[in-house]
Order: sequence, then C-alpha cells, then structure tokens
Amino acid sequence: MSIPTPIDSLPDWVTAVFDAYRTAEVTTFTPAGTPSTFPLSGRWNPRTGTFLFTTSVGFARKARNVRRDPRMAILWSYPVGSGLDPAPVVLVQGDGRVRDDLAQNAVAFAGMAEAWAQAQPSFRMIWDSRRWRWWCRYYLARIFIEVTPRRIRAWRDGDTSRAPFEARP
Amino acid sequence: MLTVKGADGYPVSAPAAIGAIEGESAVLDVDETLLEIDNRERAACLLAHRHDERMSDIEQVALQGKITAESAGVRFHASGGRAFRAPRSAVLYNFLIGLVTRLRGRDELRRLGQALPDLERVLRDKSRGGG
Repeated sequence: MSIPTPIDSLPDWVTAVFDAYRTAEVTTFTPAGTPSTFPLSGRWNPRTGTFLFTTSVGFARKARNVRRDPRMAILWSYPVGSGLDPAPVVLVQGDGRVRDDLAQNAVAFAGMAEAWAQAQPSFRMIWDSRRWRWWCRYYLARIFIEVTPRRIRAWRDGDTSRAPFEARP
Repeated sequence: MLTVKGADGYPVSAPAAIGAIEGESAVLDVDETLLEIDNRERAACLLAHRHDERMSDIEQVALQGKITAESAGVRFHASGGRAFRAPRSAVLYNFLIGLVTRLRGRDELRRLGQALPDLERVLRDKSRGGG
C-alpha cells in the first residue's frame, strides 16, 4: 500500500475536478442515521483546504443534519459541463461545519454569486433583477456548510475498481 | 450513485448502475470493495441526477432504503425517497424556487432566531466599495 499524499499537496488533475465539475453529490446523515444524498454546487478553497457548499434557508434540512452529525461525504462523479476528458471520480470524506450567520453569509454570497450566474443562466435571471431578488429573497438567504476533508480518494480515469490516489491530512 | 455508512462511521459513496428491477428493489452494479460491502444489511441512499452544460434540464431522484449482498450483486431495497424535475421554463423554475423557499424558509428563520438579511443593502455597500 502506498503512503497517502498530504491533502495540501493535491495533484492538478484532482483540484481541476473541484473547479470544473458543476455539481457534487453531497451526503449527510438523517436523524435515523440513514445517508441522505443531494447534488450541490460547491467551491474548493486551496488556501484553507476546505470545501464550501451553500443552501437556502428554505432547503435547510441538510444543514440541520450536519449540526447533529458532522460526518459527510462528497463525490464528484458527474462531469457534464466540466470539459474534462478523461473524467476523474473523486471521493472526499470529512467533517462539516454549519455557518448560519445569515447577514455575514449574505456579504460572502454577494461575492460569489456572479460566478454562479455565469455558470447557470436561470440564476442570472434572479441575480440581475431586483424584482426577482425580492421574490427569491428566501432562496438568496444562504446557509454555508464548510467541509474539512479527512480523506480524499481519486481515480484519474473514473474507474473505481482500480487503486485510487489517496490523500490524508 | 450509492452511499452507505462506512466502517469508520463516515458516509462512503460510489458510482452505481441499476440492473434488474423487481418491485421496490433493484440489483446494482457497484464497486463492492470501495463501499466495504459485507453480509450485513445497511442503510443506504441511491441518487440519480442530471443537468446539462448550462445547469438547466435539472432532474434528480433520491431513494432511501437498505442494501443486502446477494450472489447476483448488491440489492437496494427502497423504502422512501424524493424526486424533482425542474420546469423547462426558467421563469417558472425561478417562480417555484421563490415560492417553495419562502414557505419553508420562514420556519428555519424562526429556528435560527434571525431575520432575512438585507441583500439590497449588501449589494449597495458592495457597489460603493467597488467590490
């Protein structure tokens, strides 16, 4: 078995997935302990080595799950729109922390919304219109979930039956 | 993709292909080594989703249930789930997002003990600051 790479020195082909894939499949545990998975768009912060996902206060169940049990998994397996070929698969397991100061989050979200609008024309419609921002004001009230990775496994060609590249703190 | 609780207590996910469907269960083609499949019955979540390059044509189905190991492979037994398909019209999609989050978001604000943030003021401040 090879020695895992430190998480702060991930190869470019792994970090390219975090930047290019439009969605990741994010899993939390329900109160009954059952995994619950949903697609989300997220951001990788290479400076802190953490992942940031946001959800509306109207879709807050996943944040409540994380408050109760921080153990999470994030899988990047859907490459549509990424332009990556071959398309790697990356699995991150880590601990989530909910940031729910909505006023503070609004300032941070205003700084990241333009990139979201560029990637998703339907969100552009909301973001560029004061009327739509008003109608969707609960959607735009965001809760952040920040994930600190404990283990990262990645398969460059997407074949998970092969030995993965592995990174740990 | 299929997710189960791994031996270390963290969820572990792997791509999965659905094979034969019988009633409310289906045999899955998954990497059993990655998912640490053994003879135990385990809680699981099966997610199928898609979107196009512009993040439209969004569709997702998430099923919760359990898995059992069989000679034919891993069998997923569904016990509940949720499904969502975005309308093709962006206007209708955004209208529904605004409506649903308003209905659900008020309860969450009460739970958090917070008011809606003043996004317009944030944007004005950002504009003044040149950010």
